[in-house]
Amino acid sequence: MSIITHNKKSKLALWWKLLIVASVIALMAIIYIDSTIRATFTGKKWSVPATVYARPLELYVGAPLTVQDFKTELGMLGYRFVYRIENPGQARIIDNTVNIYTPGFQFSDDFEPARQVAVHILDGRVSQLVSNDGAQLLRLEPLAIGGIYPSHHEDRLLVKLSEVPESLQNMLVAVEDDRFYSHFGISPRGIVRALIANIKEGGISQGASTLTQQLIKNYYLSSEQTLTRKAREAVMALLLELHFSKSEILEGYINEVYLGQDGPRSIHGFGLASQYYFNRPLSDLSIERQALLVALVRGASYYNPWRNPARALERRNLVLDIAVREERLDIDLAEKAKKRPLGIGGTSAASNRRYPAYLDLVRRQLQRDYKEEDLNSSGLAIFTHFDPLVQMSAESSLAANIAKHASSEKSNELQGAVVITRPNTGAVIAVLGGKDGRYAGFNRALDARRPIGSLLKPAVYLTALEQPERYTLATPISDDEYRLQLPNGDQWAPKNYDLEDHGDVLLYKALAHSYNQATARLGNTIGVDKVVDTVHRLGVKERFPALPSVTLGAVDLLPIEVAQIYQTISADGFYTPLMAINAVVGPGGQLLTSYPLEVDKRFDAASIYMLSHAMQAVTHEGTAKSLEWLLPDFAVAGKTGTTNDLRDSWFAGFSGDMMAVVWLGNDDNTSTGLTGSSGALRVWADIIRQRSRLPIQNLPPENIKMVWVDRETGQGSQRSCTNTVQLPFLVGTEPDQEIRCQQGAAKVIDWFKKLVDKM
Amino acid sequence: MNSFNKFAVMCLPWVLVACGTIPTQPMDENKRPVVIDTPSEPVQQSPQEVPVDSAAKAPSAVIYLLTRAEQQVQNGEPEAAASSLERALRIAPRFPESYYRLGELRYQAGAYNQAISLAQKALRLGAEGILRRQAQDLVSKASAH
Repeated sequence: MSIITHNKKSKLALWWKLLIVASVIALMAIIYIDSTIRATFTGKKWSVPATVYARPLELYVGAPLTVQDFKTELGMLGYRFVYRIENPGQARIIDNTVNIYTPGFQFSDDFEPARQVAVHILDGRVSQLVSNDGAQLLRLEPLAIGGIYPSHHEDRLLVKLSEVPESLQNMLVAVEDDRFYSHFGISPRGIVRALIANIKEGGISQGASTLTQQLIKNYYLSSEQTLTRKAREAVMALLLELHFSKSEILEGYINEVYLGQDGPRSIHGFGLASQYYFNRPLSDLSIERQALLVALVRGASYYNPWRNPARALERRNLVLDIAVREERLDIDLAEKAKKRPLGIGGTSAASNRRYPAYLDLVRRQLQRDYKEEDLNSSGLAIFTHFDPLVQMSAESSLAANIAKHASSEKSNELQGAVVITRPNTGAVIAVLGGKDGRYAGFNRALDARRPIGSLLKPAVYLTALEQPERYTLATPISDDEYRLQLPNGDQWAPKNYDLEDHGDVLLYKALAHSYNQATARLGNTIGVDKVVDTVHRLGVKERFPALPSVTLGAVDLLPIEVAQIYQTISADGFYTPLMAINAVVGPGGQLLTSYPLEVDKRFDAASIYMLSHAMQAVTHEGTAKSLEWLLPDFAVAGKTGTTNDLRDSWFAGFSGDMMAVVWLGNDDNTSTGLTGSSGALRVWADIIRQRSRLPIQNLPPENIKMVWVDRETGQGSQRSCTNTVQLPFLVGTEPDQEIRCQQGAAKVIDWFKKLVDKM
Repeated sequence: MNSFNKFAVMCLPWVLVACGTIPTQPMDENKRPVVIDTPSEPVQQSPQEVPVDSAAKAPSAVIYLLTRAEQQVQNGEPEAAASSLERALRIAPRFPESYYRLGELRYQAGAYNQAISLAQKALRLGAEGILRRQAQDLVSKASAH
């Protein structure tokens, strides 16, 4: 008896033990899930990527600005143009007067309050600025140009729940989960209802998801319909509700939900969807537009308003009806909204604001200083130097020029890249990685390594000019045939582009006309290693082998590296690292990193001044002479570049307020049929004409003296003589003897003398 | 109040503020050569015939930012002052004084190489008069470190 009792007891104990083990396992599973949820949701909840901002438009008397540009900027910022300004975000333009009511913005250094401002514009400048608080200098809020995401292509514009219209929240809850505010993560009624439906149909087909469950599904789980997944989802939903408030969950949902597809980019969250479909901020949406977004939750593709407008309209009106039925929307408002059209913007307008090539540069600069998890964790605000107006001009100039060549040549594969900076600050203001600026494909500006050809020549001449006792701009150098015996026994004999020899030419002229024979001789005479060193000091990090052909640009560089070289030249020989980012601000508004201006004087003022002078001659009498009529009366300096068989067409140069590098070429490295001046130069000129306001500033250093010299011999001359040119010299190196003007008979005698000399 | 009156009233503080602007350097607006609006001459022409641009003129917004940077320095906020100066530089990148001021800040922060470069930049952009001497002094005192 006692044995039986004992047996019974031990059996019971075994059951207890099993039960305990099972509970422990279940508990551990729950704890595990719980920790995952807490960790990922806390992280993910703010896993709204870093927001990248363009430069703010600065307003002050004297600021360069046209009414048209101002209007474009305000349009991009989502200002509404009205007759009567009552609220922030509204604007009114009458002739040359622009009235705006700014919403205010927290910058990295300062808070810019909301203001009512009247701006008068005259001849492309702000002529008068009247602000209700007396400010004489103010910034508009900056354009949000995108986000930084680690590896996937999800895109979002973070919104706080307080920025989401209440009517939208109500409609969302009414349609997707009417008991959201009363359930605890799962809805038993819903489960029962789904269960009955599923039993009837013999499988798992109907969801009973609460918003919480949908959020869980989006975060952690695949969309396969199995019972274990459902169970896991339910447990997770319960735990989520335990740790987070309803409003936190709703905010997470609003930022997470998938609402559309724009090519490779998936549109997540209502904030970005609002921009994508309507081109305006979420807080600014009318009821019917809000309803359309809610409608898209059920199937962004199926209800795509551009492709399936009738279907979208029907679903939108259903959303409005449900909201009324659930008593979350006033019936009059709903009926009025139902009569309105979809109100979507043009597809092009919506995707207008994508600048993948520039964001790429921002991302890379960030990766130097931030870990990937920092970037996707805390909703950083990243302030950049990006100028959307300049970018737009660059995009249209490149596209138009490429289209022109596509029609005349069989070169529809022609591609391009553009990098634009501000000379003295090193701010990168625009980047194009291909002919279609919105397509986030191969970023040629940052990744296409191509031979730079004659773009390297300024480095050769700068190296020479750094030896003023040996070389001035007027030093005659030989452009005769040049042969060099290479160590391996081969002979290197570069030819001029026109296949002619030009005899002795003045140093500046050899650069202006981009003579290969003269440049190869000069570079190899002063030493290729010195030239390589100059390129390095100009800003190219790696040192390439000092081969003779380096002097003619047989060096592969990225357009962004070329930009760094020309940046240094444009900034009077002061090296400044190119910067896309100005400051990074944390979610609480605290400044995390600023990128202060760094300058490093790498060259003496005189040699850079003389080089810059010769590069201006390129645009007056040299290979870029067409700039005389492409940019009339506007002084610029630059250099053309053309590589073998016309594979690459380059132009790099600068005005007083802008430096730009343009590359055109085919990705498969075939001939483009274009030289630097027939291809890239045109794009460059288009951009400068549209966007540059300040020509090159000729401010000679004190130790520079301007002297008239004979164009052929480089001997000192007088202005009144024919065939003379004025050139800058380092004081003490100017030609000492002054030839008398050769006029009339003297000229003829001189001609005979030369003839005799040659014989 | 009709809109004209409103406008006039809105103008008033602006005028007052404009009057209150104190130039940070002793300078004569008439003497300061104007650069921004005049295209420079083509390369072949003699600079002697054109008044040589010795320094870029800054809009009053820049003077305002320099004044503010000065105050920020006095309030012990050198980083805020640097932000103001860099903003001034973005608005008028060829105005020498902004570089010099930034150089002073870098000097105080012990970044002597940057101080030298920034002062050199101010000189290269045509710093004149007192500013020129100050920039030269900055180069020599920073070089001593």
